Amino acid sequence: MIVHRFEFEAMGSRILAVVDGLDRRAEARLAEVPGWFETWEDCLSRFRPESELSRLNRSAGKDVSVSGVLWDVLAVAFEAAQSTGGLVQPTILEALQTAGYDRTWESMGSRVAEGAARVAPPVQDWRLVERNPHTRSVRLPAGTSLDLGGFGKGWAADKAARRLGTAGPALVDAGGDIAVSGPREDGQPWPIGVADPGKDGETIALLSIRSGGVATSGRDYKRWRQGEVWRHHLIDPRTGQPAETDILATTVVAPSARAAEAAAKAVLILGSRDGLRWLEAHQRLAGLAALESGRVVFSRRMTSYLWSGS
Amino acid sequence: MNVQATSKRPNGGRASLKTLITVGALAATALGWLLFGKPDSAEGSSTAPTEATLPPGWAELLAPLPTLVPPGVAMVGPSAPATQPALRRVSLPAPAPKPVTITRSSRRK
Repeated sequence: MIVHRFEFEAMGSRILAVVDGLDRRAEARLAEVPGWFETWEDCLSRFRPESELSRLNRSAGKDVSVSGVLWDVLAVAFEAAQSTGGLVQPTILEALQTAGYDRTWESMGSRVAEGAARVAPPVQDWRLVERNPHTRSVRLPAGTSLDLGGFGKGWAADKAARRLGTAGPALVDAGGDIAVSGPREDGQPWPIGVADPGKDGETIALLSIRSGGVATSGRDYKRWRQGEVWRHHLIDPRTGQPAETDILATTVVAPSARAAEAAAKAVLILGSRDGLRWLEAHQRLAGLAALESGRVVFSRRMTSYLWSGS
Repeated sequence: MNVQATSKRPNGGRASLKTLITVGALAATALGWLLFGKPDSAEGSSTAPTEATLPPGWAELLAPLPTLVPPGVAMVGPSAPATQPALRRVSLPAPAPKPVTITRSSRRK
């Protein structure tokens, strides 16, 4: 039985925090969650000119000391770049802005970007970003800027679930990036639905998650028109353009929300054939992909996460 | 007199018939005992019915019928089954629970 639940908006997304059980500390702990997210967003948002990330982006070519939060999220982003062979990396901000995603999603009300479709410059190599763990400082190469949107949400979901876990089994959903601290109070897994990207309000699967994370990446919602061309927010670093893929949305189960988030993006960029192969090659990942054709394909390990009968 | 003589005649015939039936029945019974009352002949006798000679399924049909036994009373004797039937736990598929949350691509609502 879920006793404590808290929902709010942050990081441009709906955030849900849940603590299962009767521990009376849970209510007090849940009330702290919006504050945590506000602190993290203030540090990581590319849309806030005074955020720590925006200041770092303006300081390319210089050594910049960064906070523990920014340092940790940068580590998550570079780990994702390493594990996906550069398919998912933080140095895509310029490409994203060139594609038209240069302001908050809410302010893109008309879903039409200004001007004609533009060709993005090549994405900067993430390996050229220097990090010094002794001084906890970062130096971006000239002309490089970072976007930490997805990495930040996955990291925040993991961090919040771990903190809430001291008051009972916890789940945190940060805009579709979901972390659970462990099984529920009664030992059962958490039932987590997977939205159908083609039909609003419907689901295509029900997952059974005991620990770790789940994340969905899709081009079904955040898309807009730039000139005559439809764009979306998932940049393929190999082209600098929004990924051309047969996948509408993909969901990945992983040991953490941040790992699931990075893997989901990689699968979407690779497309269904290579994406599923990539998933099969990683023992700790499982996933499904909803294709533009309406079909849903599953990796072999994903069947063990499907709720019985779903 | 004539009346009496006439009335006795059928009675005498009926008694003879009864006697004949009685004797016949006794004779058939005695013959039956003679034929079937002997102990079974040695193994391989063609007259002794065995399970092998019965049509398939007949042996089960001719087996002793089980007797209803009240619950909790142990059955003894040849009709007691080797393993007592026990209640079997049947698990029906539970209805899918309502998801706690739904994962989808990032959005505010």
